[in-house]
Amino acid sequence: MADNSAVEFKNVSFTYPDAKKSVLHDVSFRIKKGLWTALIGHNGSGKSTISKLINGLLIPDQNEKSEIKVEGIKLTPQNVWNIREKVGIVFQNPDNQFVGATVGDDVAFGLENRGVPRDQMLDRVQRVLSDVGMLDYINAEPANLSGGQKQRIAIAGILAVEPDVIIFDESTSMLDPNGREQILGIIKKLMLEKKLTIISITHDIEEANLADEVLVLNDGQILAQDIPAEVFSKTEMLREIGLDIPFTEKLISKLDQIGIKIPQNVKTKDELKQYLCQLNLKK
Amino acid sequence: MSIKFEKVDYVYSPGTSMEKKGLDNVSFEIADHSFVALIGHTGSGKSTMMQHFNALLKPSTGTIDIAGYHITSSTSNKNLKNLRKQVSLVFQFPEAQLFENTVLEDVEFGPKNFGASEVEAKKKALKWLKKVGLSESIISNSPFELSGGQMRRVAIAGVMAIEPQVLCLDEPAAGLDPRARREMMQLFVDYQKAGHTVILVTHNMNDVAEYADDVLVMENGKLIKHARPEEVFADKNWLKRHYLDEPTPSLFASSLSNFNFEKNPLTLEQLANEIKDNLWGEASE
Amino acid sequence: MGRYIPGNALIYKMDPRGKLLITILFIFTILLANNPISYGIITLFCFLAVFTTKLKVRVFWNGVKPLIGLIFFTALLQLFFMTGGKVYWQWWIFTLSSYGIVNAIYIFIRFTLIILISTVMTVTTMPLEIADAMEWLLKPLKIFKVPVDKIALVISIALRFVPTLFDETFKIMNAQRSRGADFNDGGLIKRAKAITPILVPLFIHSLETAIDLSTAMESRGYRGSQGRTKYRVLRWSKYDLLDLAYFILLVVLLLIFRNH
Repeated sequence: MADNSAVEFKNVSFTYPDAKKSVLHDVSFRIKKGLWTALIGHNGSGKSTISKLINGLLIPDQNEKSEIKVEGIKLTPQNVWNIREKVGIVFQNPDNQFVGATVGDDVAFGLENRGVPRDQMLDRVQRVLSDVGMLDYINAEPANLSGGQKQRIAIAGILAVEPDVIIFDESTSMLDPNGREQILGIIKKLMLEKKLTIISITHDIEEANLADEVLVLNDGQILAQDIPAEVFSKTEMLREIGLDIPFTEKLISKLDQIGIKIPQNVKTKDELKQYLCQLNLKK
Repeated sequence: MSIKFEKVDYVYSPGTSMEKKGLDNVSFEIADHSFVALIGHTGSGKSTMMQHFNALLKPSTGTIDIAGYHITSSTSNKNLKNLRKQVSLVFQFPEAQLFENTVLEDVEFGPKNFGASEVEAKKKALKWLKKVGLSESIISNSPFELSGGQMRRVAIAGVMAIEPQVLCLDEPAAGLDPRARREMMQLFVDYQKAGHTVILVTHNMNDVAEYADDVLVMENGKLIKHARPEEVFADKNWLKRHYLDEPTPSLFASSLSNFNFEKNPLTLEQLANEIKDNLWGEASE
Repeated sequence: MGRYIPGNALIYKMDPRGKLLITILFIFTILLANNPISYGIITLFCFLAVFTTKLKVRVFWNGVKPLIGLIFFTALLQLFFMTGGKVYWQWWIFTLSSYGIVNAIYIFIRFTLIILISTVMTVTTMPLEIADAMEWLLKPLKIFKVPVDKIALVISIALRFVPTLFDETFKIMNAQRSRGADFNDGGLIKRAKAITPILVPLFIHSLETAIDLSTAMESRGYRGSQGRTKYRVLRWSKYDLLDLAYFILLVVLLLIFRNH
């Protein structure tokens, strides 16, 4: 079988030490290569556990059927460092992942760890900083940067080691709208230019709406995996598990309440706009 | 007992190379018992202003009248306790302020500092823990054993238990689940309705449209607008010029090219009704 | 000592290794001075160093000020306990002698010079550069299996988090003040108690930061210092000949003019 999945989980469970209940129960899913997949679920649904399992920061519960594959390679304690070459994670807190004393130092950190020769290092640091639009800040110290800028540096640091998969683990949740927009803009750009696989873990529904695929997680189990329009049309399910629904769906159900029925096939914001404008012409 | 700023300037690190104006000639007055939204970009002076409300910072020049206090640059740091009892601040990510052994003790900390007896403090703490939606079973747990969302609730209960006249909150719902977010916002609306002033520092324009009845817009330390939300969001070009977002409903409305909106819809409710009016004509109502 | 103040004087362009080394050597060189002329020379050289920073005198006064009590105390000890030479005055265990007076002055000068020269170093060199320079100086310790790279990384991370920790401290203080905490009132015990609401959150915050940071470092491929290359390198430049010349001239002059 030609393997087109970037990440594959088979029967994976995970229990934190000392916890009575597992956070993930027997989870199986595949994340397609070259796509942007959003992983949504309320706090404590096990989203972030998944990202740490993918690059071996956490180890799944013992189970012989259990398997995690990244880019077709099965994750084992022996090859965990090879897997980390392929997967980069941008974490939630902009401050707590900034290791270097200056922007340049921080971006170079991953390269230093891999023993990349210095002349190549300088080139790559410059290149990835211009990819995220932060080249002017190469000598800046983190204390003088905004949250959004620090996250851009975190992205640059990961791009520098040229992974296949980048996980954004709630990376925008501590940012202001401006910072969030910058990060989402960069994600979109990366998708287009670098053909990376993007996994974004979020509970921002509008952010998930931008993805190619959405994976819904609730209490350690996968509830749905589909294109955003399909997932978000299941408004009942989303409400039940405490997630918000996107604006378009909210409006459709509000209109429905006051007697304006919107056909089933109208799902996205643009479709709704078009439909309403046509309706207005006909009257 | 309204809140009144008169020509307030605040200068950070005066006389050094780092000198920076945090507030620049800010004057306004807000009515009692209103729900005020304080908006503007990061670094616009919102949090500098917020810290003036209970005199954590004092104006370099100008005066502030709040909760019966008249604050100037020469106001002494002593005797501010009663002001801080009347005006409470909830900072961003307030769970960072938890420190006591138990949830109950942490919530009692504020009331006790402001002179409540053991019995009173406990009564208030229990009341507000319940109001923020925490069950009584966790009150003797350590706050550090709780989930992030629960910690946030404990921290907010810890401030609301002081029962201030003016409650000022900086992005209190940031990072919360949508459900928790709605519950939280409702709690603040209820608090306002019960006869208090609520000031919400936020980036979320939908919340501004939904809840606020008065809006202060800051930019580079200056107050660039003070108006009702309808008015703030009416001038789309002005918003664009200042890089401010519109509420999602009004944004959607402006993309419906052949519709004619009598009033710029700010909330989902208004938007749906305006669409109906357009489609069916107002006569059909 | 003082905090780094950005500037563009020549001394800022010098390599931190050179500056650190010469600062340390300068402090030892002070011991060479043993008569008024040699003390005069080294004082002159120290002021020369101060002058090259092009910074305000206040910066250096702020460096000396916190230690002024200690300097006077030590000088007074010399003044009243040192015996020898001509005795001017004596009472109980105190003696005022010519040796005492001269030594008190020398001690005073020595202390002040040490502080001034260290201030020159610290206000013109970024903490990070000082850390780099220290790593370089400590390198020989590697033969004794001292993990110099790791120590250097720890120091650089610690320096990087100082401003973050300051911000957090202010934030927590403001939050607790808003809840009615009072940090300036009451006696010692009350004040010590009042600091718990700051220390506990700060400790928790630091712990969380440390955990997050180690997770991030591991996920970015950090597995110890073996096989690591370095982004940050220090390069000697022509300016470093200047501080070397300065130091050699100083030593030569001292050797000529000191009492033999």
